[in-house]
Amino acid sequence: MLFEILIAISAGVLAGIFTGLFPGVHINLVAILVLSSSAFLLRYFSPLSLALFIVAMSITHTFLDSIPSIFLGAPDAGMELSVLPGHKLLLEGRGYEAVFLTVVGSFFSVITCLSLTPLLIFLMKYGYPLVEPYIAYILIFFSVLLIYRETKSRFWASIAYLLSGVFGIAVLTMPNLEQPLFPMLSGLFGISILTVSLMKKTKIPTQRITYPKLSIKEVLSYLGLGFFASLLVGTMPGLGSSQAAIISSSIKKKNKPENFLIMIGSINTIVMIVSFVALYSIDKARNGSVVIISQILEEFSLGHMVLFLAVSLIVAGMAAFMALKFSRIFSKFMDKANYNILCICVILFIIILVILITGLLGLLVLIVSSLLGITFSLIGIGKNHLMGCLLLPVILFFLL
Amino acid sequence: MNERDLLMVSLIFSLIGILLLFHITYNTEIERHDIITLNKDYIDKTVRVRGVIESFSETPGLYLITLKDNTGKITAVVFKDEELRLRENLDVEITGSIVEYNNKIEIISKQIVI
Repeated sequence: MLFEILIAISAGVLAGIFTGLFPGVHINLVAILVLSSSAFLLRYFSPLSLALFIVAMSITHTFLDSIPSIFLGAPDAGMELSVLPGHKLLLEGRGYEAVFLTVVGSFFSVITCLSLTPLLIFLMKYGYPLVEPYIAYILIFFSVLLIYRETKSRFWASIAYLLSGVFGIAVLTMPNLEQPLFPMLSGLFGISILTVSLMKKTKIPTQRITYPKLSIKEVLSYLGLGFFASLLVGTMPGLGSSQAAIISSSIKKKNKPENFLIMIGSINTIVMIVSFVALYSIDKARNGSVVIISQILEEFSLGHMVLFLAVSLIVAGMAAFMALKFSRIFSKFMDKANYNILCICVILFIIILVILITGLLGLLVLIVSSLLGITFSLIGIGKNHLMGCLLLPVILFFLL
Repeated sequence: MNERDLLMVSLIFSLIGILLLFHITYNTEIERHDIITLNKDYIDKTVRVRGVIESFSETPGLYLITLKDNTGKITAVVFKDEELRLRENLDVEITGSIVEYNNKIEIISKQIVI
C-alpha cells in the first residue's frame, strides 16, 4: 500500500509540473480524466491513491504556475496579478528571484496552514455561516477600496473595473463556451502585456540568479494577509484565488513587487489547502479537484484530512525544489532567446491553445480581452482593476 | 500609429467587442433534445434537455440527478455553486455538455432552471 501511495504521489507531482508549466492545462482537466478513467484505474489502485494523486498534482501546480506567468506573461487563474510585478523583476534580470519569492510564499503558506489547522477547522465551522450572507458586501467593500487606492486616476480605475465586469458577465454567461476563463484571463493579463512589451521594443536583460533580502516581519505580514483573504473566500462557492488576491492587494496601500509576489504565491496554495479542510469541517467541496476527490472517496474522515495535509507538506518540499530548478532553466532560456520573437511565439501559442480548447468563440473573447487589457495598459492604471471581470459577476450572483 | 491612436482604437474595438459578445450570449439558443436522441456523437457538445427528476443524490460538491422525459433517462451532474432545493418529480431544464462516464453518457450541467 505504501509503495502504491508513493507511486501515486510521484505521478501527481509530475502531473502538477505539467499543468503548472503549460498555460491552459488546468488541474481540473486532469482530475476529470482521472475520474472518467476510474473504472479502469481502480482495478490497479485504491481510491485513496487516486485521491492522493490529485492532492499531489494540485499542490505541485500551485508552486509551478508562477513560472509561465512571470517568464512568459501567460498566467493561470489566480496568478493574473503576478504578471506585472513578475514582469517588472524579469525586466531587471531578476526573473528567478520573482519565482523564488512565489515559492517562498507557497512553501511557508503550507507550514502556516498545517500549524493552524485546528484554528482553521474552528473558523470554518463557526465563522463560515456568519460570513456567508455578507460575502457580496465584503467583495463590494474591497472593490471600492481597490479603486480608492488607485493613485493615477480613480475615474479610469472605475471604468476599468466596470467595463471588465460587464465583459466578464457576457463571457461567463455564454452558454456554449468551454473554459471561458482561459481566453478571458490570457487576453487581459497575458497577451495585452506581451503586445505592449512588443510595441515598446522591450529588451530583457541577462537573467541573474539572485536571492531577495527578506524582512521576516514583512514576509509574515504578507503571508498573514494572504491567509486572511484565502480563508475568507476559500470556503465560499464560486470564489477562489483571484478574489483572494484582490482582497489582500486592496488592503495594503503600497505593495513592493517582492512582497506582493510572496503574497500571490501563498494564496493559490492556501486556497487549495483550505479546500481540503473545508471538505472535512463543513462537508463542502469548493473547487474542481476537491469535488472529484469527494466523488472518488465518497467519505472524507479526519484521518483523510490529516493524510492529505501530511502529503501536502511532503509534496511542497518536492515542488519547491522542482519550481526553482525549472526557473533556472527558464532563466537560461531567456538569455538565449530573442525576447521579441519569444513574445510573438507565446502569443501564437496562446491563440492556438484557445482555438483548440474553446473554438472560434473563445478566440473572439481572447481578442476583446486583449484589446481591453491593452487599453488600460496604455492608460497606465493598475491591472488589478481588470479583475472586475471575475468580481462583478460573482457579486451579482450573490446579490440577485 | 502612435500610442494615443492605438489607445483610441483598442478602446473603441473593445467596446464593440463587448457589445458583440452580449449579442451572442443572449441570442444563442441551445438546441433542446429528447433524451433518447443523445448518444456518443454528442460528447463534448452543449445540449439542453427538459424533464422531471426521477431521483437524486448529493455529495459535498455536487448533485447527481436522474432526469427523465417521455423518451428516456440520463444522469445529470450539477456542481454545487449554490444550494438547490431539489425534490422528486420536479420539472427542470438543464443546459450542459455531454460526457462519457463508465461507458454511459452523462450531462455536466452548466445551467439548471427549476
